[in-house]
Formats: sequence, structure tokens, C-alpha cells
Amino acid sequence: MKKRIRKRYIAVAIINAAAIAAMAVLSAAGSSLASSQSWNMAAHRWGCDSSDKFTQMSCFFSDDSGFSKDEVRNLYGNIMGKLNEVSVVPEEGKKLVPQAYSAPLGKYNVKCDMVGRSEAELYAAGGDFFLFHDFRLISGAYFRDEDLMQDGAVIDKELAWSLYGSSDIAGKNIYINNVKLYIAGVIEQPSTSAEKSCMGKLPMAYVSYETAGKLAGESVSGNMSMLPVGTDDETGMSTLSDSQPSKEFRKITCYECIIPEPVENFAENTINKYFKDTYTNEVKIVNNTERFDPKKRAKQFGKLYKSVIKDDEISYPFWENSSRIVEYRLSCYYGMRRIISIIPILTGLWLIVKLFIFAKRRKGMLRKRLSDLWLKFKKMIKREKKPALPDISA
Amino acid sequence: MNENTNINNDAVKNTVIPVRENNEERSPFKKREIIKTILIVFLAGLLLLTFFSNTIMNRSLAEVTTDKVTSGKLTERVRGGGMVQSNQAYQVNADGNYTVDTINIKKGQEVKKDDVLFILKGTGETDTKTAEDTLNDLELEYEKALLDLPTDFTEKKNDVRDARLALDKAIAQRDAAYQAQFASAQEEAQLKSDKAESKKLANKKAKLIATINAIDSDDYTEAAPEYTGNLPSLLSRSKNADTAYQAAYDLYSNAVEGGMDEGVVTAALNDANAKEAVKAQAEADYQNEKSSIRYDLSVQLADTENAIDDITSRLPEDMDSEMGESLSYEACVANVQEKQNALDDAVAALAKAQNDDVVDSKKNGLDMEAKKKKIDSAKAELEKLKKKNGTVEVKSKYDGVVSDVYVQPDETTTPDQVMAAIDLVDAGFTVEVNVSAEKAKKLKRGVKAEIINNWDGSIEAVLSDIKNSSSRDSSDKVLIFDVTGDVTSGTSIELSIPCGSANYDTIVPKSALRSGTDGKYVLVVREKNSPLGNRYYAEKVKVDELASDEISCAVNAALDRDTYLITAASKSVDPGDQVRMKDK
Repeated sequence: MKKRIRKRYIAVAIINAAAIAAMAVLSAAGSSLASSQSWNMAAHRWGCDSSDKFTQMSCFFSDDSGFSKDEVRNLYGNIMGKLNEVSVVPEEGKKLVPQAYSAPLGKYNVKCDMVGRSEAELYAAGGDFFLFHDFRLISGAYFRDEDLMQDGAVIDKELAWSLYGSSDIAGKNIYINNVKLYIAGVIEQPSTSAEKSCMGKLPMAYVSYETAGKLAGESVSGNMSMLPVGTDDETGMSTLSDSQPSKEFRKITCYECIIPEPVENFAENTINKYFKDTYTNEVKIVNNTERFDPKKRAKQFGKLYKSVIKDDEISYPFWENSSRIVEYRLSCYYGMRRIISIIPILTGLWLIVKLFIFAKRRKGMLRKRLSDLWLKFKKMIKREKKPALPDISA
Repeated sequence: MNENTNINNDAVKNTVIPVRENNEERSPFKKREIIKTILIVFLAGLLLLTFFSNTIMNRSLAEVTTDKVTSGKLTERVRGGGMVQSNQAYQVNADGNYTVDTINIKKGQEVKKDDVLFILKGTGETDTKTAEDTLNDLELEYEKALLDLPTDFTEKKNDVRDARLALDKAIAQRDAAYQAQFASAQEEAQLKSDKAESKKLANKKAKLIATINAIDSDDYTEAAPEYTGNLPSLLSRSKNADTAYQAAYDLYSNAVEGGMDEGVVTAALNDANAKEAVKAQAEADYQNEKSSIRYDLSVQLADTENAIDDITSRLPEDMDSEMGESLSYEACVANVQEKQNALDDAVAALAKAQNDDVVDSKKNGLDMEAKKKKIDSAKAELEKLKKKNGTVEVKSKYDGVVSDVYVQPDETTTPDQVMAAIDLVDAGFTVEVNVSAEKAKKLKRGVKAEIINNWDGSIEAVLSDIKNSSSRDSSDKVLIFDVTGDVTSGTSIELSIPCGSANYDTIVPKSALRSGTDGKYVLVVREKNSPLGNRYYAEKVKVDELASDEISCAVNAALDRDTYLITAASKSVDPGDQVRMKDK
């Protein structure tokens, strides 16, 4: 009989140990997975040494939403106005709300000064785009809005190798649709499995909105959604960017910003309120800072089927798609962890009940033991308080 | 059964006991072995971890690439490009039909004044034949032009005549309509008068009938006052007298019934009799007047009815048809006006045609003169061709550089065909570069631009002017550079224009510059020594950006030269984080 009871206890202990170990593994895996999505950590990078809380918001628009650079100005004004209402004002020369915007330009043929050429997927990037998307730089630097010349391009390693056979090529020339650009920086391609699965087969390149305008000016149709692959002229290689007919490119399909949180949910409420009336069905708003929160993810575990339903016209950029994959996985991890946690909780409850029964049966003995312990403790304290004898040798 | 059971139990005991003894003998040894093995594995693990602790730790750290802080010159530049254009150029034209025999020039070649550029050959018999044909054609055309008939105006004149006849006819119609309308106007006046009279009499008749009815019913509320005379007042007086008599009679009756004094009764009786007399008189007056007035009104009513019958017999049954005839005269007047206008137009058209004819005649005269001149010129040309020995030399009029040659050997030229373009080198070359206004602000006139695609350094470009863009919608500026050196028009050059340069103590790579809540900063690698080797930590240093070019930024910061700055990292690095340097 004794043996049977002992085996049961051992089994319970093993199951609990396994459950706790599984929870620890799931927690570590979830944490690692979440931190691998550095594009959702821009708020942390921005305010890494600040005691204030910041929230990174992303807004994704459908192709025909009409959201443009003018609207960005309006939105920025609105955010600053709301911050001003709660007495949060920017310090002189410092930025309070960094923001970035981008739009896909499509596939283009990219050529170099030599024989190398490749097809690449182009993105127009503006604002603090590379603060939000901190690709690992292999050489060069990111282009910035405040740069005098806006003819820089950030290309990925694969494109760099296709063109020049090296990744240390910052400063060299490339030609996209007859527009001459210089390589501002070469970046590492995203490495996580989620990112790889969303990236597509073509290498990526990022150009400024000014360059995007020039590409639009060069495009015969003038429509950026038309893909001018293969339309470039061999003899037009020496054409410089500034001599191109410039056509302003204003389209935005992804807007991101980091907003201080003077009160809870300030950022999310401000953005939601702004878009509530005007872009109801054409925008998807995401709170990046809280999207990987374990509690939130665990809650979503029961509603995972909803993640496969697409009820909007928005085509998300690869970084958002990879974040959604991570969200899905994290929901599984944290959901499983929650389910597994039932085992130690139930065991704990069972132990409490057992302890209660034990205490009830041995009430007298326990009381005596406790009073003995208390007396011992008191004696020990008194002994410690006795003054030390004077040092005779001194 | 019990015995069997006991035997079996004994057998079990006999078999189990030796095993248990065996276990008891082996157990402590086995336990020690297990503990020993576990300890060895544990210690080996610890040892391995100790040996590789640094490597393991390094694996978990962010790997960073670094660059050093430098000092020196930083130049901000604007890049642009454009096509070289000559400030002055002239075109070499062919002065007739020739065959290109020799081309002595090529693109980019320098030529002097009177250098022979082309040798052309005359087209010989073919040319002469062509010239003869041309002359014949011109002469034929001239003679045909002489045979042109004078302009015929008969049609226009007929138009005028027809218009005049039509006008005369319309005037006659109008006069006839006027006469007809005059007669009908008198009738219409009579008709209008009769209608008014009839209406008036009908009104009177209604009033008379109403008054007679009122007299008969002694109620004058509906009666016409102009016919009732003083009947209403007489009726009123009669009624008042009756009321007074009734009151006096009632008084008398009361006095008799009340048994009053005889004197009082008598007085009341007298008063009643007097009022009765008054009443009878008033009634008689009223009836007399009533009879008299009613008779008069009956007579008037009969007269009125007779008059109405008389007028009604005069009025036509369909009055509207008679009124409609008055419009015809106006239509005739409008028709006359229309015909008059038509006549005026026809006359004007005739006059214009005659004037045009005069002008055309003059033009034809001039054309004829020109044709005559052409014939003369063609004759001269024909004579010239006949005389020509077959070759022509085309010489340069100025010193310059050939910018383009447009003809090929054996090509046949036509008159005024451009054969070559020559840039006048002395006039110089320019390049226009479009830039944004923001960039143009940073540039100064006189600055010398570096030409990127000029490998031998033989071309120089100096910014001579900054102008507004010709496009109204654009705020862009046009930079105009004077270009000198070994250059021809049509050459595309790329320029790098310095905006101004300065020496800076602290220059950091652009990739090291980061942004945060408190502005821009760089992450510096700080080295710390430890028993297990050097460790590297990221430390934040705030910077103020002063200037930048494509790759570097000049900053104001507390940074020593050769300090390592983090330019890229394998994962996110926060200030204070331990990092692993790529090359160490």
C-alpha cells in the first residue's frame, strides 16, 4: 500500500516538473521569437534610456485609400496637438514623435556601372524609416530625409552581389529605370524564418520619396503601379537623377510612428480617433509595442481561426506579414503555456487541501512546536543583545 | 488445500529471500557507483562550462562592427548633370542638288575659317533635265494663269433684282392690308360702344328689378338707392308713428283698466287719437309715394328692356372672328421689313464680291509677277547648271569645332539641307542643371564643379548663373555652368558641385549616428579588463550634427580620435549592453 502511494506522488512530481519545464521552454522560446522581430521594438530603441513610456503604432492602408504625405502632416499636427493638451511638448531641437512612411514601387531592373544587372523589388521610404526598420548594415549608411542629395539607395546583400559581386560597395552607382543613384548602404537580408517566408524571391532596394518621384516621371504611363521592367534604355546610362523630369510621389501604404504615453492607451486612442471617420475600412491600425504581450497572445489562442479571415483590401508589407506570423506562433506558445499551467495550479491546490487536513489533524502538536520555535527564537535574540566583554589586553 | 498453500508459500519465501539478499548486498555498491557517475558528469559539465564560458557568453552577445572617429575636411556636395550646349553655332547648308563626294571633317574636329569641309559633285545631266522640266512646268502654269476668265457677278445681280421685286410685292400687300384694317377699325369702335352700352343697360335693368321687388316687399336693403327716393324714410316714419300710437293706446287702456281719474283717461284718449291721426297720415304719404315711384320704375324698366333688345339685335353672333383680322397688317409690315433686309444683304454681297474681285485681281497680279520671276530664276539656274563644270567646295565661314555631321558620302543634297553643325569655340559652352531651390541656396556663383565622368581632367565647369526654372509650376532652379576644355556640344557631363567645405575635429561615419528621445547620439565601444579577458560595452555619447556628406557627419561631441563607434550590430544594442566586436 505504501509503495503504491509513493509511486503516485513520484508521478505527480514528475508531471509537475515536466509541466514547469515545458512552461519555461515555451516562455523562453516566445521571448526569443518576439525579440527576433526587431521592427516591433522601435519604441524600445527610441526610448531605451528614458523613463517615459513610448508606443509604436503602425497604420497600413489599402492601395486606393488616398493617404499621402499631406495627410502625414495633418496626422502629425493632430498628434502634437493632443500631446500639447496633456502638456507634453518637444524640447528645443529634439524630436518628440518620430515617424516613417513607405509604399511599394514594384519591380524594377537595376543596373550598375559594369555588366551586372538584376531585377529588384523597390520601396519608397521616408521619414525615420530606418529607425523603425533597423536592417543590419554591412557597409555604408542609411539615407535620411535631411540629406541634401536624395539620390541614395539602400540595397540588400543579394542585390549588391548580383550587381558588383561584393557587399562593400557603398558609394557606387546604380541605375534604376534610367535614373542614376548611388548606393548609400548595403543591408543584410532578414534572417528569421518568418521574415524569409514573407520576403519574396526578389532582392530589395529602398529609395527616397524624391527618387520615387523621379522614377514616376520616367515611367511612360506615370503610374507607379505599372512595372517598367525591361523598359530602360542602354544608352541612357549616364543620365543623372537631377536632370530627370520630377513627378512628386506621395502615395503611402504604411505609416509608423512612436508616440509618448503620458496616460495609458494615449497613442492608440489618438491614432484610432484620427482614422475613425475618414479611413474606416481602408486602414489597419496595429499597436506594435503591445502586440507580442504574452497575456494578449494567450487570449488570442482561442480565436486563432480569426487570423485566417481577411476582411480588408490592404496588402501588407513583408515586415508586417512576418510580424503576423510571429503573432500566430506566439499565440500558440503562450496559449499552450496557459493550458500547461493548469497542472501545477491544480497540484498546488491539492497540496493546500492536504496541508489543511494535516493541520487540522495535528493541531495540538503543531501549536506546541510553533510555541517551542518561538521561545527558541526569543532566547536567541536575547543572547545576541548581551554586551561584549571589554578587551583586557587593550 | 491448506498444506498445498503452505508449501507454495514456503517455496515463494525460499525463492524471494535469496534475491532480496542479493539486492541488499549489491545495493550500496550500486548506489555509490551511480552517485560517483553523477558527480563525475556534473564536474565534467562544470569544467566544460568554465572552459567555454567566455565563448558561450560571446555567442549570446550582439556582434558589432565598428569604425573610428576621425578629423579632417568634410565637403557637402550637390550632384547633377546635363548636356553641353554651344553658346553659338552655325549650320553648313547645301545650296542645291549635289552629290556628297568628300567629307573632310568629323565630329569633334577643330576647323579654321575657309577650311574645305565638303566637296560636292554636281548632278550633271539629270540636274539640267530636272531644271528644264521645272522651267517648263513654271511656264505652263504662268500661261494657264493668264487664261483665267474674269469673275461673273450675274448671279449676285440676279439676287439683288429678285430681292427688289419681292420687296415691291410686300409693300403692295402691306398697303392693301392697311386699307382693309382702317374700315374694320370703325366697325370695331361701334361694336365696342354697343357692347359697353349693352352692359350698362343690363346693369340698370337688374337694379330696377331689384328696386321694384324691394318696393313690393317693403324691404329696401337690396334696393338701388338712386331709384328708391324717400321711400325708406317714409316707411320709417310710418313705422315710428305706428309705434307711438300703439304706446299711447296701451297707456289709455291701462288707465281705463286701472280705474284712473277721468281726466287722466281723457288725456290718454286724446293723445292716442292724435297719434292715430299722425299714423294714418304717415301711412297715406308712404303709399302715395310708393305707387308713384313704382309706376315710374316700371316705365323705366320697359324702356331699358327695349333698348337692350335693340342693341343685342345689332351685335354679331361671332365677335372673336372679327377681332382676329387686325393682325394681318402687322404681318405685312414685318414681311416688308424682311424683304428690305434681304435686299440690303443681296446688295452688300454684290458689293463684297466686287471688292474681293478687285483684291484677287491684285493678288493674281502679284502671283503672276512672282511666277514670272520664278521662270526667270529657273532660266538662270538652267543656264548656271549648263555652265557648271561639276564640283563645288563647301568652306567653313568661322573657326570652330564640328559638333555634328549630318550627311554621308554619295548622299544627294537638297537645297538648304543642313550638312554639318559647327560650334564656335570662342563663344564657349554651357551646361544647364536643374536642382531644387533648397540645394541651389547652398551654392555660390563662381564655384568650380568637379566633372565626374571626365577621366583626363581636360574639362572645367564653373557655376556662372542660377536662374529660375522655366516651368511655372516648379520652384526648381537652373544652374548654368560655363564649360571650357576639350568638349563638344551634345556631350553629357556629370557634375559634383561643392557647397562649401570646412575642417572638423570630430567626424563620425553616418552609419554610427542614431536618434533617440534626447536627440542624436553615437554608441562608443568601451573596453574593460577582466580575468577572463577584455570585455566591451556600448556607451552612449550625445552629439550635435554640424555637417554631413554621403558617408560621414561632422559632429560636436566629447569624442577622442580613434574612438571605436558602433556602426552596425547583429541585434539591438542598448547603451550599457555588453557587445562582441567583430574583428576581436
